[in-house]
Amino acid sequence: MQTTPAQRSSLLRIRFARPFHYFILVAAAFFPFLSASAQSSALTASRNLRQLVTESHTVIQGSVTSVVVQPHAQWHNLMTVVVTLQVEDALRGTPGSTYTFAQAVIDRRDLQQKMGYRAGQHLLLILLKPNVYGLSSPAGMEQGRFTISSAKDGKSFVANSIGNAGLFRGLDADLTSSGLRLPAAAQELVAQPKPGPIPLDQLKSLIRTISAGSTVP
Amino acid sequence: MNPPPHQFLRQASALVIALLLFPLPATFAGGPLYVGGPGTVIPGIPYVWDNSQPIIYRVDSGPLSQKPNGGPIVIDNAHGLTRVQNLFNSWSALPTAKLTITNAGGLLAVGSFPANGDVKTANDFLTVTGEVAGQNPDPNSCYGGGQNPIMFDSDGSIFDALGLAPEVIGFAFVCTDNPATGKLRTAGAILNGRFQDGINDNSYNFELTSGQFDQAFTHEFGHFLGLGHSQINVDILLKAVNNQSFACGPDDTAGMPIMFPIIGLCPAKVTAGVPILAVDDAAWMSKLYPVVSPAPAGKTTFASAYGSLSGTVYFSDGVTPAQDVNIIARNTNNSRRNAVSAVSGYLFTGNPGQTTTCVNPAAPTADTCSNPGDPFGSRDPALLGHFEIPLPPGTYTLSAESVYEGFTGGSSVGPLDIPIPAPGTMTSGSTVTVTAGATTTFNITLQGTQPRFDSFESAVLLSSPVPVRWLRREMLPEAEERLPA
Repeated sequence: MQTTPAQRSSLLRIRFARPFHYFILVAAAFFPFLSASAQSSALTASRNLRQLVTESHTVIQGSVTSVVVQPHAQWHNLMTVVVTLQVEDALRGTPGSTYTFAQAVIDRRDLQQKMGYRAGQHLLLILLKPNVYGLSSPAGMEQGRFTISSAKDGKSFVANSIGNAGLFRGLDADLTSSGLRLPAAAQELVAQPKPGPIPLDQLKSLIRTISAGSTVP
Repeated sequence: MNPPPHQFLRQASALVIALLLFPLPATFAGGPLYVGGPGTVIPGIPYVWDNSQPIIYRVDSGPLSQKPNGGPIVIDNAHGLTRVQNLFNSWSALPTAKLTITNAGGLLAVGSFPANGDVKTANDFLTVTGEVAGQNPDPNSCYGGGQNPIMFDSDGSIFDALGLAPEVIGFAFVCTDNPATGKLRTAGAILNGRFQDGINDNSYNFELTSGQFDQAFTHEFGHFLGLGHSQINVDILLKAVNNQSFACGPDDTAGMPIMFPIIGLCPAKVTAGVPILAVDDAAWMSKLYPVVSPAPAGKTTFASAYGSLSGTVYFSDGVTPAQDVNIIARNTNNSRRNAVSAVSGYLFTGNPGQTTTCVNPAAPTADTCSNPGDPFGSRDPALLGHFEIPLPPGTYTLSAESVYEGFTGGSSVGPLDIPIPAPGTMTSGSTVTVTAGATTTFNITLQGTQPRFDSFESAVLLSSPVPVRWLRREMLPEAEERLPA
């Protein structure tokens, strides 16, 4: 799956009168793109963290306790992966001590692999509100699904399936326009994003800040 | 900021443990999308369509895009059909690829869904697609092997009903293959017309330019045809992720494969005025569907236009094959544009599985084993570090690099669902010359890799007359001194 630049208007393009035309993409943190997602080779538009959290209904940190493939109750020709987590921390919504959601499976390979969910996984999930058919998914698909890992020093880190690319694009300006302030612990994270996993506590701090400034749908 | 967290994951030992204990899905192999696994008639061979016949697709009769709530049509069916055909044509027009892709008309009737119908609801979509589990699919459905449906979700309501995030632009999916031939049999795709409805509320309804949208589905149709992801010019992505300014010149844009997992880093190809397919895209699709002699009118045989670079990537010992290293051959003439890649071990499975932890190791089943292994990919050890790159004739500089660590799951490049860093580096400046119709062999021994075994594994067995025991190799001289004569 692939994602494409969502809003090219935010790109500053400068044309040089030279043998080549160079498109200078100012502040890569603002680059919008489309990326491949785990759902059935799906293509998704890139969203930053504020956008993902704002459209979400529930944000939880927890351990996957079960992953079950089963037909949808209403559409018998739709298979779903039903994931249950033991909730360790609720950052948005009121999920209780356990949380279960059902995600549609379109691709046979996703079915075989249960969408990549496995019991014992330690995840942070930014989840959409279940629709009238009881179906949900992470916001931005793989963008809102973070795997938590621990370093040797015991600190926890998180990364989504595209190495957190685009997660902080335009975030500072977004928060400012929403009247929110970056938590001190996350300022460097947003100002100097690096590819790959980021500290869990800093991401959670950011999510809490964003969630506090938006209404749960 | 803290140092990268999981350097321990970068240890091969951790990877081995992970592969043994967890069922890591290997989704895409750089080059082909799927490779035959054990039990198939094509182990180690990519899945492709039977191109001795045209690939017949059928299309939704509704509009491609429509304003919300039953509003005006933005892109009608006729224009949608043209867009789809043009996108497929990007692939079938390759002079060295034998691909005929034909629109056979409207969708076939499936259950309650009428012939030549408009897929308007999730139920319509699921009916035409058929049951993914394949228990009792309608024979006219995609999963029943009956048709290759291209569907338009004109206002995004089908995606909503399926609970998919509003960011999903669309997807392609392979439905069935022919187990007797190992050929792909049916596949489908659905396009989210909400990205073309002219509305961008920046929260739920997003918009793409037509160039971006077309580029996205050219990528998806590449998957439809059996092509996986490729990684070339990844330095642009790394600069973007690192919050650095970067330049995307025409050659960067042209050289970045349409099958790169992320699009939009550079301008849409149509905007930049470069071909929509990169050299890498053309080479790999042509390799999967080569035109053979005698070439039909307007086509060129693959053998007359391409040679091949083949070899194995090894650890520093020159013996142990290294999987998941991205090898790029860059033409010395315009290296940013004229480049083709392959991932070592792309024909080998990303997860061989194991039976040790099965409830009954002697009778392993998917239900009683924690990791039965990926059904795709060869188990032939000779393919573990193997790579093969189709190349137009010329002189090339080779490089070896890691697959970007963020390319996981559906974004993955190469056989591993979670990429590992290349275990070593490659001496720069190696050049090879490729001629049409010939295979050039070039093995790569990486520099600076970790030893194949650590000191605790490097052991010898000392037997009679002393009790059997394992000793570390470095203890051997001392131990031998103590052995009775």
